[in-house]
Amino acid sequence: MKTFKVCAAQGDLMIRRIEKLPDELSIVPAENGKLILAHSETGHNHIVLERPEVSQYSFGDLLRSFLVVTGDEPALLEHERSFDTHETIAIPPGIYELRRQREHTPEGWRRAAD
Amino acid sequence: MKKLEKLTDAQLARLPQIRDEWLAIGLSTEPLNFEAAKSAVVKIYAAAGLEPPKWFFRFQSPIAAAIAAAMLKTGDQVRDQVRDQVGAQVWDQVRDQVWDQVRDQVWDQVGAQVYGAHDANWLGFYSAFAEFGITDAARLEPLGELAKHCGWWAPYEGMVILQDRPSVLRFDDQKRLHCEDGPAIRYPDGLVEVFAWHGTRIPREWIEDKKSLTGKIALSIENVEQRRAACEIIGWANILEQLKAKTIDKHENPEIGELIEVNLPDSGKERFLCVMCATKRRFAIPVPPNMKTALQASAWTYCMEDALNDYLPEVRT
Repeated sequence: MKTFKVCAAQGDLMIRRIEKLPDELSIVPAENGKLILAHSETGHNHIVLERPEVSQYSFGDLLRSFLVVTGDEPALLEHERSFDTHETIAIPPGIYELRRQREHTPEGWRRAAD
Repeated sequence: MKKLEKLTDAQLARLPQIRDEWLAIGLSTEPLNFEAAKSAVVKIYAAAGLEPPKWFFRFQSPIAAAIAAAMLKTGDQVRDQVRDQVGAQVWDQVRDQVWDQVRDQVWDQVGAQVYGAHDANWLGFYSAFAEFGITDAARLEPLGELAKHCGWWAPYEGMVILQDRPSVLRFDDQKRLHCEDGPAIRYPDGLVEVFAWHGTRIPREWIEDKKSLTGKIALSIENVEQRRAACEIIGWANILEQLKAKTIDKHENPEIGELIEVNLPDSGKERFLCVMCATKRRFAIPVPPNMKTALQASAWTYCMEDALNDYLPEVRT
């Protein structure tokens, strides 16, 4: 399994270590025991299993959210697809920014959808 | 009863065979065997303590069955009753290790690969225990028998809906739904047809009227996976030639990719970043016309075009 120190990408999701969280965040609740770090319209989500040491936060931005991993164990970033699966990445404990990929449109940009 | 502590060599050798038997059931395209299905249903109702149904309805596609189910909705659905009373509780009778072995080989492997009979994985799982002498699991045998002869089904008080399996099911060599010259899934009445390209659902016309799919249409599809599928159907080389693509910049790392400019009929020049994903598939991402290098365009897709030095991910999967 791959891991990283500062920055990694899994499909259209990028994760970067940051110093501290911004203010005014709201917690993103888990769905069926999973934190969905990147939602896919065809159900091929990028997820981390829910546990007390892992929290996801949003501040209403379509492209950015945040992840905090405490304790000693890495959180495993998994891709939920039975074929063409993006390999799991171990996220070491720390504070991270999650960035979604965007695409150019004549009007500006849109979030990449898969 | 005695607890199943460990599987014998002969039982272990049966697991892949049981898996393959249930894969064949789950992927069957045989027509529904009405008489055999009826007889299994009667046994299932009896096991659940219910009177046998008076009416047996047969439909040839999920949509026909769903419409009929909505129209016929007079009786109570007895699915829960069937599940609860016929359902097997073998946990107490099986050691964890044995459970895991059978689960990995039968439940998971069959479950990952069947599209028609979605019960095939768990029925196969319990059928292994029935075969290994767990009597409680044998109670599921009529359900297994039904799965061998029928597609989806729905039990009601006094009646049952039986549905045919797909008559066509096609995959590529990696078991992804795929067919280049017709539907990947088709039900006998033709009311449900699914078109797919290496696991991605696509519109019918991309397969049935290939000429209607142009490079311009392909590159303007919003869904990234469908856009990739469209480009593969036309062929990347054909698209680039059709749209007179010009390389603006090429990064040494194929995951950062190649910045190209294409000439789209009626809408002019547009820039795309062509990248090789870690899953070894090629994608085209539209980027703004002022992008000068592939690295800058790649960083732009993550809003990091102003921080190129911080951009490069250490790993990409």
